[in-house]
Amino acid sequence: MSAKKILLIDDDKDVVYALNVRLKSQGYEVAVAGDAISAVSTTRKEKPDLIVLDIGLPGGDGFVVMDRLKSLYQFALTPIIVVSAREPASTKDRALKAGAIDYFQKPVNTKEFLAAVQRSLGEVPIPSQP
Amino acid sequence: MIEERTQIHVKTAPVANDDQETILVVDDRAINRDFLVSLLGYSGYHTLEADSVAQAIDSIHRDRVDLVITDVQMPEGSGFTLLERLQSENRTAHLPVIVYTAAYRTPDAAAKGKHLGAFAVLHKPTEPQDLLDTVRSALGKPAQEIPLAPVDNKTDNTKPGLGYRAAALVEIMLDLAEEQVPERMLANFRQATQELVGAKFAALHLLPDAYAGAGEGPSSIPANQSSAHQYPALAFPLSDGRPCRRTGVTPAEYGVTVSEEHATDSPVLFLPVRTRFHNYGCLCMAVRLGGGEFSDEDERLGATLATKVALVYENARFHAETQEYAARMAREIEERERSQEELAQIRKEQVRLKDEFLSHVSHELRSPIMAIHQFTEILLDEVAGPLNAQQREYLQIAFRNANQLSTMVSDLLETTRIEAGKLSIEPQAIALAAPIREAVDIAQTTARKKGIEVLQDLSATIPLALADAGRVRQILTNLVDNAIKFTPENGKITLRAELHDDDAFVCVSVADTGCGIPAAETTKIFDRHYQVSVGDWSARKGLGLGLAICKELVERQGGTIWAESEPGAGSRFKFTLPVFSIARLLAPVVMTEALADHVAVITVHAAKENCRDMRPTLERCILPDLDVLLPGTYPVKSGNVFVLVARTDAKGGEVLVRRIEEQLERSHESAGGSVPYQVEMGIVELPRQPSQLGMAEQTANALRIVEEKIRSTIAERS
Repeated sequence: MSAKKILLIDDDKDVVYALNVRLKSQGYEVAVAGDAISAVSTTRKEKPDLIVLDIGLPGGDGFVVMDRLKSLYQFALTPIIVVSAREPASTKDRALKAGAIDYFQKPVNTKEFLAAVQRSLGEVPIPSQP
Repeated sequence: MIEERTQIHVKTAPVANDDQETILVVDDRAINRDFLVSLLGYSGYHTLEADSVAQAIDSIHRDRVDLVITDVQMPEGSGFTLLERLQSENRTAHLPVIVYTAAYRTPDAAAKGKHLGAFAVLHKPTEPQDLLDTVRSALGKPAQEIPLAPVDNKTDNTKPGLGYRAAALVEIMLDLAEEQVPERMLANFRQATQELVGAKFAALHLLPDAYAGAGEGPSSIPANQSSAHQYPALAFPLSDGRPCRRTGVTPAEYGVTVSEEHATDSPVLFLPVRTRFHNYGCLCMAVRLGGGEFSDEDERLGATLATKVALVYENARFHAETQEYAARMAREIEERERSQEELAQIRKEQVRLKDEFLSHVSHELRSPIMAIHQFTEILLDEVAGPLNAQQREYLQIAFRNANQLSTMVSDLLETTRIEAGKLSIEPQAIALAAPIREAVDIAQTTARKKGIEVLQDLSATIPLALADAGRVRQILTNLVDNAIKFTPENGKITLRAELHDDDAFVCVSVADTGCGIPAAETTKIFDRHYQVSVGDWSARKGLGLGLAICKELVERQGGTIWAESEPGAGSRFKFTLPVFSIARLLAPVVMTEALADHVAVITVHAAKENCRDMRPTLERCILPDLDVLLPGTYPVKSGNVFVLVARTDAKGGEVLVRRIEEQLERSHESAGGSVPYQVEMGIVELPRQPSQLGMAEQTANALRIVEEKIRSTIAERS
């Protein structure tokens, strides 16, 4: 079975690099897009299994990217985890409503983040909601 | 009026001779009439008197009248009214009228009198000769020198008697006292004194500072009332302060413009205008009407008036100053208020900018912190290769600091939100065990590194609390972090929840075995930026915001927070949260002014995914004083139930249900989806209790009934 591919969409190169190293160490394949404009074309090209998306992006915010992706039938079901510096109080609900399956505020707790990645890739059974 | 209004009817006796002209004297004051009657009588005229316009008209109609001499200001109609009346009738239109008035009372009399057809307008004081000449000319006779008795102070028939003058003095003073504008009052004073004393010429010389602070200043004063210092003859009376009479001074020395024939050797009367505290100037009278020197009586009357007027002037000046001061104060206050408003506006703007800046900064800090955090962790996890012990230790320090930095950023933002009033807290019915357990789990890693044991001790019977679970966890995490910081290795931290003394609150505590806090500081530590003065200095990192945030969070949830400590014996942080009690939440609705007869219990059953949006919508539907939307959702099999209790009857309940349905419909339309929900209503009758029950018991019973209804409704759904 080939490695699952994760697309990181974030304009902060160091954050992207860190997540890249971490995810690769976990055996994932990683692709990167640095702005909203290239995000969709990169998605088309890379066909990722999971997208990790920042909200504050050059060329349009993460919500625009999410709307575009959700409107494309090939990617409508691709899970998206939002990782943003913004306050969950203001952004989390909006992100979940727009179709994200999880939300993390920077700096992320690695353990929780990796668990969410696994869960969204169907590698760990989703724990039932209480 | 000084004279009493005696019944004066027209005096007809003595009957006029055929060759005698009859002159009607109209004046409301008897003393004025007496003066004219005696002067005219002496000159051979027959006189009649009237004290009002009406009486004058009567007299003119009844008697043969050849000339009318009338005062202007009379209480029941002025001299001008009389003139108009006479002019309007054919048989009286030809009758000559002389208007005789005090100039200071009616400054426009000359123009007005002429306009209305008066033969002449004379101002008091007038030389008796001038008055008689005018009378003769009005009667169509040539001017004639009428021999007057030689001037003699004892039998001075060219001047009104002392009674008249004393009465006039009081009148004048009353008039002057009413004048509010100091400058006008002084001008009136000069004319009135001139009239009273009986001087042909007069000038008022003021000292320069007499105007200080009084209204408009010297520009409003006639030129001849200027500085008293420029006239040498005034030096003595001004310094002496008493009135004096002199002769043999030239007009230039006392500054009064006199006609040529009086240019030398005229008698002059100096009347200083002064109070005990202030010297205002000097009034100079020159040339006595009727000739001769000024009498003792003239001096006394003039001096009395001058003394009084000085007092009145002082009052008027003080009044003007006070008014000006009041106006200035009002202006200043207004300006100050305006500038305060502006300041408040600026401050508000500054706060907004600061909040925006802090929000921006903390947002921008998060990405770099994440990069540091991630790479440190990658190294610690040996993703990039094995570490030796020293490398691991150094990286652990870096990692810990990155975490602290992250907490500080969060605290900073939280504080900004508290200040901006944007802290969101959503109290629900929660079991405190969950957030306590989470806080313990979160702390475990750090605590274990320091060899500290974190324990939880939950009483089996703690009731549900009305609180925001996320916020409770935040408070606890903060308290536990602090406890770890201040507890030495191998210490112990215990989290405990128990029912507070009065059953209305749950008390949560975090106890440590650390260094403790001095008693004096147990309240100060909740202040922003406060740092305790004991403990491990190296561990004391942070902004000192944590406890201030905790305090705000606890208080916003209706509880209190405090610390108990004995230095050396550890400290115990305690906070309370209200027990979730349907009855307490219902009390304001069921029992407002009197016990309600019935309440409507409305349940809104919603699919789980919609609950988040539904609450604000429902809140918009209720009237805060009459209805209550119970906090928290009650999980049932197929979703959640919101419970709303309204103090209303079936009819009102139906209206409320309709309103809720409309609102939900609208909000779901705007959200772009159709979401299933169900609204149901039940009316709970609250039976009247036997009267021997007290109000408290009745209320308790009613609350129990409503609570029972709510429970059964939810149970049906499950």
